[in-house]
Amino acid sequence: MSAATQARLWYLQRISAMILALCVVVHIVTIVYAVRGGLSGVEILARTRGNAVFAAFYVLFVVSAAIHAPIGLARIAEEWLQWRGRWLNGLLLVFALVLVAVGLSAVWGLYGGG
Amino acid sequence: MTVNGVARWTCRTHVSKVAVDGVLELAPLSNLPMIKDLASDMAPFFDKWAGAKGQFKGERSRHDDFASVQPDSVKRKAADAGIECIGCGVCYASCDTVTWRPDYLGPAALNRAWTLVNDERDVAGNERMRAIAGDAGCHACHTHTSCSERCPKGIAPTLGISALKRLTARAAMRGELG
Amino acid sequence: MAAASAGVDGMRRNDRRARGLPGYWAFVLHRLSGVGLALFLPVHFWALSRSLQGEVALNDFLRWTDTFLFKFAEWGLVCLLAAHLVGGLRLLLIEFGPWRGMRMGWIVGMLGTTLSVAILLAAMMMK
Repeated sequence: MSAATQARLWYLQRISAMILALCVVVHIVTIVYAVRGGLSGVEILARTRGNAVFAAFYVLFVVSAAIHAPIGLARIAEEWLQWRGRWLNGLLLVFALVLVAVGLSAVWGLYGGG
Repeated sequence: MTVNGVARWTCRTHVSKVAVDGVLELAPLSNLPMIKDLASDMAPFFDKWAGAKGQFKGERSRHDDFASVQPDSVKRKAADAGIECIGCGVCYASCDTVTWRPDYLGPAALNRAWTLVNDERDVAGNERMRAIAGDAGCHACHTHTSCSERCPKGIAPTLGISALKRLTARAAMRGELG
Repeated sequence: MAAASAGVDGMRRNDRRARGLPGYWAFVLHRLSGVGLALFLPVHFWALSRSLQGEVALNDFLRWTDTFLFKFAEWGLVCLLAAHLVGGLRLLLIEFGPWRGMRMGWIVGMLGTTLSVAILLAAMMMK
């Protein structure tokens, strides 16, 4: 990985951090407000089914998290486990794709699929 | 040297100020190969200085006019804040990221690069940016701030490194770093 | 991680001194909370993707959420999130904001927010 690519990954990690900061605040406030009386499947789905704003917001959330987390984990692996080499980047990408796949399927399921 | 676990200038540190219960433990400076006893090999430290393109590169000769640099300009003040570095290695020895990443250039080399990035007379610009970007460069810094806390001259490498992170990342995003 | 004793080549490593500085501990808290969150996230997504199988499957899963262990994990994760968020904001300010030093106040804020969230959330969940 060239220095320029590493610099770009750093930048993406910081930008996704900024997006996540906003998303997390909105998410926590919403969840705390919604869960006050207890949490049932019907109640959750009533709010999320067909809700385009919900879907758009959480797609953004999932993609940002899928960018932010793997980059952070890769740095930790390099520094504390001394893992080096191109396979680490492959692992990073796999983890990102897993997060995107599972995350988007969750959003899709709650939005109206299935 | 390392005095009771902390990197210090042994030539300027009073024993009475650091000896705890009359105990003083000296060790060679950390993050550097030991030659013997208390002497560390500073070669890797200065190799990284060079690796960060820490040398000034100008384009004027003795036949040209002097460069005109405003002392109170933003760039000159930024450079001035970092140029008092004497290369003692205390920051380098205090940095955990240097320990975890043997190829990390380290706070002193990056601080030096920062002073040159802010030097209007210097022309090594892009070459230097390429040398200091990435995980062996400024982007490995995790802002522990040990360097800035320990610097005996009160320099804050964290400041310069943070600015370099932004500068080089933006240059990379624009495709200027190749 | 570097230890206090001599390394493989007899080289004295970083000893303990960064260990006494608040900036270092802010980093450790930020990093460990990040690992916790990164490990939790796939589980969180998977649980919600159960909704793909409809309300019944989601309800089935949600029954697990009534257990104390689950609620404790949930509480722990929101605390980690609070710590990671505030620590992250501190870093973003140092790296992108106007230079105002090491933003030590934000380290206090990190601990304060985490503690407040921990207490408030525990109180809410125990009602």
